[in-house]
Amino acid sequence: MSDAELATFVEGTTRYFETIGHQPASVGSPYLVDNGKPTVHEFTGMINIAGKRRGVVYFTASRSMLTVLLMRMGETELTEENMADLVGEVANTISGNARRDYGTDFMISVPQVTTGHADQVVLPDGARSIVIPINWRSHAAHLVVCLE
Amino acid sequence: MNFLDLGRYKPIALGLFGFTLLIGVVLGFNMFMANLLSSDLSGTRFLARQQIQSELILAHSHTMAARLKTHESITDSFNSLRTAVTRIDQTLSSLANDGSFIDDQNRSYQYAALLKEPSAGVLNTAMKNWSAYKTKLDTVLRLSGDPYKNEANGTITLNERGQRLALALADLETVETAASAELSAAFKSVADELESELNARVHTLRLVQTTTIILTLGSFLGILFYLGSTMRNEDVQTGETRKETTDILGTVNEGLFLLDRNQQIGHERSKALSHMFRRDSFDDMSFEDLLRPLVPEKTLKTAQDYVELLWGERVNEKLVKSINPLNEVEVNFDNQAGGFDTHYLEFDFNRVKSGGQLSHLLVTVTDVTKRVMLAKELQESQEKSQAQLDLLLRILHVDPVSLTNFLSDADTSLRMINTILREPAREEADFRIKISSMYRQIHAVKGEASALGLKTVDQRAHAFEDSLADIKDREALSGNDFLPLVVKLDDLFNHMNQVREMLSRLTDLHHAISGRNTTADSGNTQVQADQEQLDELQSSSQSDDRSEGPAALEALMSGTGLKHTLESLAQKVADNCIKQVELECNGLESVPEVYRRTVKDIAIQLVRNAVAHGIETPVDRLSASKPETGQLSIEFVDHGDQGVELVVQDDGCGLQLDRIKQAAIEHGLVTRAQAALMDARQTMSLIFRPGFSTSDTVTSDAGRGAGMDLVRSLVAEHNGRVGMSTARGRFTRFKIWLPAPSKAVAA
Repeated sequence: MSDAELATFVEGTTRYFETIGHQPASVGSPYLVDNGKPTVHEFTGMINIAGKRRGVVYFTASRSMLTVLLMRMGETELTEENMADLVGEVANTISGNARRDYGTDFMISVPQVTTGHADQVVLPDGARSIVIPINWRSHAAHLVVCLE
Repeated sequence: MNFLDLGRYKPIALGLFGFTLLIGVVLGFNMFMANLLSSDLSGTRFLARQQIQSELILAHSHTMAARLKTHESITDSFNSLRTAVTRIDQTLSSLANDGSFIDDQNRSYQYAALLKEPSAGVLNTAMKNWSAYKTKLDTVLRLSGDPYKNEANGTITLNERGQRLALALADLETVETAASAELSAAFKSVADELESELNARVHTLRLVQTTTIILTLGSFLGILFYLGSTMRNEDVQTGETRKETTDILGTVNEGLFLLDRNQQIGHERSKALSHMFRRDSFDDMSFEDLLRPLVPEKTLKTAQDYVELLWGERVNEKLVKSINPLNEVEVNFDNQAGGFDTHYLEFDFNRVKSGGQLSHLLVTVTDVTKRVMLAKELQESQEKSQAQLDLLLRILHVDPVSLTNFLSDADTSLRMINTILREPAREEADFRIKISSMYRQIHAVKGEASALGLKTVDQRAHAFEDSLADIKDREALSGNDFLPLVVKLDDLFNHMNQVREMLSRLTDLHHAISGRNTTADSGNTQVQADQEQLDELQSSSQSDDRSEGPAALEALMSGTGLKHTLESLAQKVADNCIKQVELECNGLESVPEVYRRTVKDIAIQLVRNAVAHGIETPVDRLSASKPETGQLSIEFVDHGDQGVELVVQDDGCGLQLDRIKQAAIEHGLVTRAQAALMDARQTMSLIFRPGFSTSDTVTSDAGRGAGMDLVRSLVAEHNGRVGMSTARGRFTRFKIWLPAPSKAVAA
């Protein structure tokens, strides 16, 4: 995977926060996880990628972060459905960014949302994941990129 | 297609043509007969009227006779009589002569039948009678003019002409009744004859019409029967053909369909196509619609361009097929798990011509997933084998113990780097700390990789250092800046795994060789040497855990590997710098395990530093009255409870304090004023500052200013000390003191 490809996924995530959360998100120090069990919070929006690269990219965030984000958006119904929609939208923004930059090389699936079940996040066998902390206000979400 | 080339429609066309011709002939005949009948009817009516003419003669003559008696004008009757006589005479003469006559509308008629018996006899008799009758009529008609005269007394009397006329009329009266009846009978007979003729023709016409209707119906039924029969046969044949086509399309494993000029998919498709594309309906679907959801945009564009090319009239089909870019298209189907099922399809195109014109493209789609996967696996295997062979060739030149130690140490360093990265960081200061910490770790990996001649690892570590150097100079830092680092770290991990895997294969190889050597000549010393090395390798590679058996520990503690590594490193750096150096090592075999890695890392940095910066080039050395080859010595001394000491000394140019100060100023480590106040010891300590280097350019051997910082930090980790002494143009000596192993601080 190239630096530029990774930057595309990250930019998609931070742009969402800047647009929706009215406050830019900062990117924490990225690191590797090779045990096949990367970070999963309560809400996860995931896209699958095929073509030139294969694997999974997902955005995972905690309930507390999504609650604040919803409040910042002026949403009064702080339901699980709305939180799931949020992470789905982030995944969709990442997908849109990837399509814009690498649409000719990648096949990108429709975003899927899982809530609280780490076992629903299936990563390619043997692939190492890059975990990128996304810091927004006092909260931290994670963007995980696992491509073969 | 030729106009007359009607193919299977020829019988129908001929039948219709005959049918139409028959209708045309019959209609023509009907019209002819209708005209004839119309004429016959007029003629018959005319002749019938001639019966009246004879009665008119009789009437006019009687009228004249009566009027003569009453002295009335007879002019009208006279003229009418003349006209009637003339007409009968003309008609009868013409009929008797050649069977013709002219009616009062000046239409002429001629009937051959009237020249035959019995009409001919009737007409001859009538003509004779008429001649006698006409003689008397002519006598009357010759007496034209006024038949009266006015007497003196005012009365009117018959003049001579009148008297003669009265006599002629009286004479006529004697025959006229009989003659008129005969004439009337003659005309009636002729008219009846003509009516019979007319009836005969009507009968003929009716017969013809009846026959025509029967023939028409017969022809129509014949055509219907032919059409029905032909259509039934064709239906049967079409049904059989269709069944065969359906069987073929339902059985064939390839996806088959036709594409028209608008790239629309045809109606006939093989069953396999639905299976391949996971859809039931292809109606009103274009080739683009079919591919768009399955392939990336670039592939779709390529496919469209290629299909467009195939429609060119002057295209060399074989040539175009040879450049088919769609012979291995990756298609991805959404699966229920939200991911993709990937298949590889081969699209083959054949141009279909109809009437010499290109009408369709026959598309054959084959699922070549298994073939492609096998080919990919084979290619990956070959590439991997090639990479592993390259690695193998390098590894075979590396001391086994050093290599095993390196793998273990490098893995630790890389994991340490990942741990450093993983530490939460939001502020810039947090990121800066990470940079310097990672520098030391990667520099150690790079140094040892370089020393061992593992160029591929060296290059990757160097690239990692490049990225570190790049972000280090940035004014503001964030996690985004670290993205290239994590990508390169991933690459380093992968590569180290390959090296490890290679080592594992060598171990397997060793087993195979061991098995053979049990029966081989025990006097073959080379084989023995190889086996010993592999034995060493095996025991080392299996000993990630340093607490394993004493043999492994002994091997790990051996200084032979380190000595060999340092000699290789010194030689390599000297070659790079175009220098000559001779390394002398003492006591390295007695380095305690607890300091193995520390001593190794420090020695590597100091040796590299000494050769790169201390030892002069042969030319400079000769001009300084020194031997061309520089001398470098490393000595490890165990002082028991007093600790251990590593001494590295070269006979090079010594530390050049002015240059050190200048470099420190240029790198922003000290100000010019601070530098001016520094004594020799303080100046020398500058070389341990992170980022300090006297080299103008960055190479794999020097320039980053990380090596001495690594030495300092390693010593500090163990609560050790560094001592330096130098003399310009003569030597530089580093003394590293570390606590006794029993008091060593775990790093």
